[in-house]
Amino acid sequence: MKKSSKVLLVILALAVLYIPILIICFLSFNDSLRPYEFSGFTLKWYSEIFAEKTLYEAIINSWIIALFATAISTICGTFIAIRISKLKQKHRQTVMFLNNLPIVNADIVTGISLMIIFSILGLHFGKYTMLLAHIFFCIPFVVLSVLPRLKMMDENSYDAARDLGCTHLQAVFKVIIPAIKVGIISGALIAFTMSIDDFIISYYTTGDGFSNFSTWIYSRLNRRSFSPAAYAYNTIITFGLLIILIYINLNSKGDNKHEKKH
Amino acid sequence: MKKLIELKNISKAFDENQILEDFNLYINENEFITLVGPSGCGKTTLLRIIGGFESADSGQVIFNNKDISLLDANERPINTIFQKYALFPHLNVYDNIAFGLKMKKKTKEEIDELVNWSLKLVNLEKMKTRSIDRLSGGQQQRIAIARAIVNKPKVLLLDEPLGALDLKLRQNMQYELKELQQDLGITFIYVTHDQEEALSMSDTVVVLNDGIIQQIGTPEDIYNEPKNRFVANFIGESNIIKGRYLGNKLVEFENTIFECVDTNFVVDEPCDVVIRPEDFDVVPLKQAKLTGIITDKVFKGVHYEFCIDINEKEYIVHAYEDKEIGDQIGLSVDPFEIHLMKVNENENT
Repeated sequence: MKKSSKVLLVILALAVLYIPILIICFLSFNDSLRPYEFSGFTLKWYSEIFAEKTLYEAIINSWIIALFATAISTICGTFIAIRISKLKQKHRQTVMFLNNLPIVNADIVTGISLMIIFSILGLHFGKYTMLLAHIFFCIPFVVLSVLPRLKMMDENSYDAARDLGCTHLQAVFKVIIPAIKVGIISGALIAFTMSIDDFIISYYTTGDGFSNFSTWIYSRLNRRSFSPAAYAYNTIITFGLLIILIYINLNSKGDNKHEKKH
Repeated sequence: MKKLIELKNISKAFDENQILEDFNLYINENEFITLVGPSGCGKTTLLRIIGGFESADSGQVIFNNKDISLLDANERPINTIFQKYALFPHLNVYDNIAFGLKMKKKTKEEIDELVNWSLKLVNLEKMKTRSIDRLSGGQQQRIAIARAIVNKPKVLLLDEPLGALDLKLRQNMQYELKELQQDLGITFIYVTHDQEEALSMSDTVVVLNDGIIQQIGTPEDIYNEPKNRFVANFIGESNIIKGRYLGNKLVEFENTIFECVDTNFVVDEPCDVVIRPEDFDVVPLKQAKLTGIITDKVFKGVHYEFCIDINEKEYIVHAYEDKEIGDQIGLSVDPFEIHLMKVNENENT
């Protein structure tokens, strides 16, 4: 392949990846309500995020659900992982297989089965059922992220803590959790990103007029009441993430230099 | 000497595997005792039961005449040095050592003083603020020792603490540990599969196999007067020969009559004769009591190791002078180098 055609291929690939994001960004500045016509530049949709009450509530709901689901699933997942790491090899493999099944399972199956279980249990569909569902599908990701850290630990760390005067609980909090901190943080981040943009499972497990951002968009698509403020929110999220990523990248480069000096 | 720890009728099984059954042992104050045996012999399990990390299915652990079987690990006046040190990676050297003291709620000044004292003992005063992952294996080992002794335990348990170090460092640490034990007057219970380590460091050696004590004694006793084939083979190299006691301090093996020093056998009783490879003397053929053909030789530095065929049985002999493979060699043995063991019908190897 010639060099010019290689460059062309890269440009094409990048275009496919980034044009949809740029279109959303573009539409967030479009004065028109309709996405296929441009009637002038505006920033009004950004203030519309706060003015459009149902959208604003949906966004807040998304964040509250994601934060609670992350906190609860991180705590549960961490303790589950600690327990799993104490199991014997054979049992551990079985439990990990059961842990990984929901991860590879289709969301739609998870969503519908949770919906059926909640209705059998006679739960009132709404924010609590959605939160329960999010906790449920986040826990396996936390377990999966924490367990390798536990395996990297010295097998006697816990015993050493006990030896030096810790009770069971103190040993866990003073020694084990600090040692697996990185795994817990990355598990929490995965849980948060899984929860905040989930649609399918949320759709089947919500009710009572409770919607998060994704179910709100779905309910408003192709309707008059759809507000381009959603584009504005998406744009904020995209550029917010971009800034965070650039910041992390710059910082970790600084760390590397720091390491080399020693 | 005062008994510090007594293990009474300890039994322990993992699943279907009976590791220890009705095990009894006592350990004196200020003793350096080593439990040695092949892997799976129950030595680490025993250590973990003493430390409180594992509870015995039945039996008692007595400490200073008090039953501590039901005490948790954190309540026992015992500290442990683990195989891979188990230092805490999120804490630096100082905080690792101070960990136990902080748990005991000591004051800042006390902690400071004790940590400095223990760092001095292991010669790592300059490493105070280092992070654990920037220490070498030998340094980590020393920090693990400092972290344990800073609590001034009555008993220190050591679970193959030198296993991860290279040979030279291991030998240095052997001296240092022995010295430390004598200076501090702490009882050391040391677990290893390395028989050389066991012999060179301990006051008392306990040879274990399949959860059963094969022999207890001083290193000299264990080496010079092994009680059975297992001990003779596991501790050092041995030639074990079937023989017959003739009475009057005479023993017959390889169709030859030898003088010996053992007497606790009846006339015509079959016995196992143990001769260490270094206890053979190479002599001119005319004076030899045994003659054989050299089938193999290995240069070992200080000596040569010869494989010698005597009456179609293989013997191992250490000698200083060089001989060629295929040569005939004459051997004799002094009476006090011949050790007789009772024959145990159930034993193999």
